Parts: sequence; C-alpha cells; structure tokens
Amino acid sequence: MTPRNTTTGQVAELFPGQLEHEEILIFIRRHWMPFMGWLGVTLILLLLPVFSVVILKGIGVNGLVHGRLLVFFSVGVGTHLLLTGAVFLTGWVEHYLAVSIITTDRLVTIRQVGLFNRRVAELSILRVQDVSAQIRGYLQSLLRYGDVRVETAGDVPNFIMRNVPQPHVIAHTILMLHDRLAMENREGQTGGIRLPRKIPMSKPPHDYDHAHFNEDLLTQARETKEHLEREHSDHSSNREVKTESPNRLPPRSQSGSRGEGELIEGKSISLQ
Amino acid sequence: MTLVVVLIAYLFVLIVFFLYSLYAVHHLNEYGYSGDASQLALKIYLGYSSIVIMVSLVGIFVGLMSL
Repeated sequence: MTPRNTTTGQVAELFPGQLEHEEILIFIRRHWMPFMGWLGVTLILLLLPVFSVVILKGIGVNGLVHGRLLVFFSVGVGTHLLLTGAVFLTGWVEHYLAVSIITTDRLVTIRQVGLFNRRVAELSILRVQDVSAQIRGYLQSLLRYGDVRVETAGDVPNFIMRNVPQPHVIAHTILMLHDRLAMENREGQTGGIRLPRKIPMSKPPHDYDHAHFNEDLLTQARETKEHLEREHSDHSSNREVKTESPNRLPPRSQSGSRGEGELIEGKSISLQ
Repeated sequence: MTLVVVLIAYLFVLIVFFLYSLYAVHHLNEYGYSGDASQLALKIYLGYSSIVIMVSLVGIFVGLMSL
C-alpha cells in the first residue's frame, strides 16, 4: 500500500531533500527494547491508582464510593491516568519517529525528542572514513542491537545511529556503499551534479515502496547488495543508469524540459 | 469552596490535555503514514483517553449527586 500523509492526502515523503536519482536502500527503525523502558514506566503508573485504593482501604478510609471523597478521587485518578496516557504517547512518538535511512548517497538520521523537538542529521557517504558497530552489555548482545558510529573526514561531527538492530550489518553496508561511490567517482561515472528535487504539489514525489521497509534488516541488506551488483553489471554493459526502482525518483526528460534558471553543468545562469 | 477549586482545576487539566492531544494527532499525521502503526497507536490513545474522561466525569457526577 502506498503510504499517504493523512493531513495533506498526498503520497508521504520519507525525509526532506531527497535528491534526483537518489535511492533509499535501507530504512532502519530503532530496536523495540529501549521502548520497553517507557512501557514499564507506563504500566507502573497505570497500577498506582489500584495500589492507592488498597492502601486507603488498609488505613480505614471507606468513603470513596460517595460524596466529596468520590469527587476528589475521580479528579485525582482521572488526571493521573490522562498524564499516564500522555507519557506513553510521548514515548511512542520518540520511538516510532526516530529512524535512520541509508540511501545511495547519504546517511540520514531523524531523531525525535518529545513532541516538540525533531532533529534531522545527514552525511554524505563520500565523507565516511571509518565505521564501527558497538554492542554493549547483556541485553544488547542477546537481542543483537547497538550503536553504529560513523567517523567522518574534516570537522564534521561523528555520525551516530543509536539502538539500531544488527549494527554490524549496517556498518558493513555503509562501507560497501562508500567503496562503491568512491570507485564510481574515480571512474567518472557519477553523471554530474545531482540536483535537489522539486516536489510538485499535484502529483506524488516518488513511488515509495513501503512494503520493502517492513522487511527485516538482513533481507533489506541482502536485497541492497544484490541490487547494487545488478546495477553495477548493467552500468558496465551499457553505461546507462537504470531508474525502475520504486525507491528512486523518476528521471527528468533530457530534451528541453529543464526550467529557466535551473543549475546545469556548463551553463551560466543569471542571479537577479 | 475546595470542591469548586478542584473542579475548576480538573477543567483546566482537561483543556491542556485536549490541546496536547490535538498537537500529537497533528504531529503523527504529519510525520506518520496512513495505515501504519502510528495511526493504530493514535486510535488506542484516543480510545483510552475517552474512556478515562467519561469514567471520571461519571464519578464526579455521582459524587456531586450524593452530597
């Protein structure tokens, strides 16, 4: 099913600023285990009113079923349960909207803190210098999740994906993509400057294959490797970029479709 | 007097909660996708909140009637 933004009704964007010909290869959600902390807190908060009733009964307060005490009790428990619901929703939003995306060109990490803070960090795969996967402690070893730390060239801060499943698979994929991109650059196969996409409001920006990203990470990584090998062999045979992938933007038509003032290699534009 | 203050405070809590939920729904609709788990979480959250508010209002009503 094609995902749609329920506010605008249009095909949903996965992350802002996707480039032309840039394909989403791996989509990573955080492991479910860190969310269990939020769930535990929620369950304890849900049980507190039950404990309070038991304690009140124990100390001899029996007037909870009528009168002024019932009003106070209803207000207190109602407020407490509503706040518990809000705590759970905040935890869920933080867990669910925190994603990492690996495309053919970039690494993108989206971090959500509460409802009011959203941070999108991205890094060109060409700037990757070293990648390490870190699994710490008993739980992470047992459930196979951890952090992926990407060290970068220059002053750019290191790029960290936290609590992701199968971190060694992700690290391996990033290194593979970096090697491939570096090799393409050496061979001069990149096809020039990649332009930021323009999103027409009347039609979907791209055909986002949502089902693919529901697959487990190992399947995604295997499909990515097969896809890259297939594309590389096609590339070397006819030197033509394939664009049938559902996760890649359609190409612009080559003849005369570029708009006035667009950035094209070798063409001067006027800045007014 | 205490009862009135408590009831006004609860009304205030309900208004703040309503605004928070409104923003949460908008936020998840903006960044989530139709048919995915975020929409299911929203439905559970809104159902749970409605039940809590209804039960607490019934409790307040019964309490006030028995004064």
